[in-house]
Amino acid sequence: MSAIVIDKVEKTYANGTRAVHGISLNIEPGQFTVILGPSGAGKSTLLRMMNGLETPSAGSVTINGTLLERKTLRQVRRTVGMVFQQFNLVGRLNVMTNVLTGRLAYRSWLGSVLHLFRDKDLVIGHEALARVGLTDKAWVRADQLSGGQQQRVGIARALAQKPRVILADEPVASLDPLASEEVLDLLKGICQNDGISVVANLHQVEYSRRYADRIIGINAGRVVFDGPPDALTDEVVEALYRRPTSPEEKSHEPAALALAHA
Amino acid sequence: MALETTNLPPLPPKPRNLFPLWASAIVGLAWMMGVQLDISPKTLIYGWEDILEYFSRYSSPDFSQAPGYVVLMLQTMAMGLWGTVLAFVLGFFLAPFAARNLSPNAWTYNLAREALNFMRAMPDVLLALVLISAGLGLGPQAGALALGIHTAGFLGKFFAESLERVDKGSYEALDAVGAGFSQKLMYAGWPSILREMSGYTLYILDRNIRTAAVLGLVGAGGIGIALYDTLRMFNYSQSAALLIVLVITIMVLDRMSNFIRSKLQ
Amino acid sequence: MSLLRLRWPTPNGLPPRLIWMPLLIVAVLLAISEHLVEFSPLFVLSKIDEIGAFIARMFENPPPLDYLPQLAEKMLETIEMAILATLIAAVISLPMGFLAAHNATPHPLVGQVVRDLLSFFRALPELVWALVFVSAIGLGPFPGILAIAVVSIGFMAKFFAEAIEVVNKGPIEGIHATGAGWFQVRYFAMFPQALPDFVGTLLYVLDHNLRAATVLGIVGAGGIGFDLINSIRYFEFDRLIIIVLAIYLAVTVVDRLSDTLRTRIIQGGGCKHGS
Ligand SMILES: Nc1ncnc2c1ncn2[C@@H]1O[C@H](COP(=O)(O)OP(=O)(O)OP(=O)(O)O)[C@@H](O)[C@H]1O
Ligand SMILES: [Mg+2]
Repeated sequence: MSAIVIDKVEKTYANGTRAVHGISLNIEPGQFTVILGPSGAGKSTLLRMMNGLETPSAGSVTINGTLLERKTLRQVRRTVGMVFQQFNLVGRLNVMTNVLTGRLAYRSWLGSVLHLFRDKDLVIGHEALARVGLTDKAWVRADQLSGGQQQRVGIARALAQKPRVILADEPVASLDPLASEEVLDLLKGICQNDGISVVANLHQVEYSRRYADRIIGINAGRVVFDGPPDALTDEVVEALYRRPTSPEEKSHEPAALALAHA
Repeated sequence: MALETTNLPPLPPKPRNLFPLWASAIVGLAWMMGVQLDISPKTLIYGWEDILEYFSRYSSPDFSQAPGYVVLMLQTMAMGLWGTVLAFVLGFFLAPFAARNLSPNAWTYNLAREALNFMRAMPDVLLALVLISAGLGLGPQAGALALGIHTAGFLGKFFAESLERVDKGSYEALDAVGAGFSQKLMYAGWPSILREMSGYTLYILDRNIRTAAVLGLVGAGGIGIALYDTLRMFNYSQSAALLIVLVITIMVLDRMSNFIRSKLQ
Repeated sequence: MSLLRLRWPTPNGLPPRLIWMPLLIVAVLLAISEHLVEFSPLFVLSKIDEIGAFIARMFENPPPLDYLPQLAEKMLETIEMAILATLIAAVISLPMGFLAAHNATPHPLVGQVVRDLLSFFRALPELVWALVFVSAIGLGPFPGILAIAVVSIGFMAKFFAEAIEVVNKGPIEGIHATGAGWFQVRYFAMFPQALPDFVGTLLYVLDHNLRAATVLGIVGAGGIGFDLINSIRYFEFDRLIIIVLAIYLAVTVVDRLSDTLRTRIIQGGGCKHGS
């Protein structure tokens, strides 16, 4: 069974912007998938539809066999971790509490009022922190860490959810090269050792080639490339980052896609 | 469930969380105060029906004298306006001396700050009482003066703080061309804080109109005097009408000043 | 000739509209309302010496030492009223703030109703609420505390709601994405971000409430105000002066204290949540 099944998904925002024009994809478990594409291509929109942060205007998303809809939203999100470009930690809470927020979906609202968690949750939090190498910062306020450290806390929060999928929206776009590689190594390791599928939006072609098992190229809301890193030749990259031309041309099957499947 | 963490790097010692201590200290203190003041929420719980019955007496407002109330309300608003203008003028002249970076010397600074502090510390109701008994007599004039003196303390302090926050460079540039105290104020100080000033002044106007409504209780005119009289004579339907006029006016003013403030930003 | 002509440094040589328009409006309003306020500076000036004499009379006699114990007791009562009312209001304002904030309310209608209710709480000053509560439950500090608490809820919940409305959206999304529930998102993502603002408001309100508590005694709602109005009514000037001094001291101390604490809190937590 595919980890994520995206079926003819479209997204038109309230202001009329069509960000995604009917994309269908299957994401296999345990794979490191990179979504690549120019700014405004609809990468974030696509990724955010995979855990219901945006609702598709048409089509459906199925995660591990569960159709994503209003009723199943929390249940699905529980097994889908998300890592953000801006980390999205709660700055005033300490690192451990931030990691433990990954357990909230498993706790009742009343149980979480006093910031009390079960021993089991604390062990999970501890493990997640150890995994990202930040046990020594457990009681430090999250906004006092460096960007790279904050992103590792973000990953620990996702890990604490015991997810089957981790979505990462440009996880390294605000980091320097060294911290970027640390974070991507971490995600890759999680993917390989824990069998968690990782779907990451990236800007950098280099990183995509190095870390991805599969690369999906997106331009103007459509898939224009889908294949292994080897198939991502320089010509394909150039085609991928080309400005979208007239709408008639875009409706044709793009050459890059044909090339990748050849 | 295995709670094995021995193979993980240990967590550093957890810092002591003082929150429960503080929380219980505050609750304990509040409890003691409640006991000392002889406060029994029981009065509220057992007297629930009495209280409801009491408030139900206000349920049939009598608007037969509404035009008179409207005039009183206008008088109240006028009192608030005059008080605010007075406060603005006083604050305008005192604030520069109370701003650390502008005040000519330490003496004027301390003097101005203490003066503003004293004006803030005197409740306007007390000032109105004193002015009335001291010779101004009953009427809105004493109320407007009292509001003006009290809120000049606030406006002066707000203005002074804004003047202190103005970018140092603006003042230095004028120092460099040899500008004097008043020139620095007129060309760097006030122009830089115009927006903040108008925000504060509107806020004080709003506050003064609310407060003007109660100055009548001590004889300083406006709608408060009528409210006090009708409440004292247990004339609930008249009181209700007065309260409604008051509440509606103030809620409308609240909306208006919110609107103007949002336009200012 | 033109050397003597003065003009403003604006394109048309007239002062900017933003300056003269409000001044003109205020001047017109003052002129219209002049007879309503019966304000005459000359009359006030003519009374200056009478006011001076009134103040001088406060210093005529040595302070009545036998009154000091009662003064201390009443001042303590006043301060306690302010603190208790602030605490009660704080506890109630927290949930009210969430109900009133556009981005946290369970339903837009609930938000509107709560905001209107808060606006109503704020509309009447403490003294009027005190008058009403004294009529309802009798004399003493309790109606005074209720009166202060009601107005404080109106202000604190409003400010808290405004603080919630401007919190960073990132952490909210971050917590949402973990599958956290409605309450948990508000509690773990919004509350910690809005808390410093709330504490700042709390200190500001405490400062305000102490001032309010000093005069509630005028309508029999406890505190020093009762002695205050009596000393004026019965021309007990020696008492009046020490009451005024005591109020001045208490208010100044709390004013300074809340000022320093507020700047500490803003500096302590403001770096990340400046906007
Ligand atoms: N909330 C929104 N409301 C309206 N339009 C939006 C919204 N979010 C994104 N868009 C639009 O949808 C399109 C796709 O945006 P998206 O953020 O998915 O692009 P992206 O590929 O992630 O770009 P980037 O690399 O810059 O992050 C853009 O044209 C953008 O302006
Ligand atoms: Mg994006």
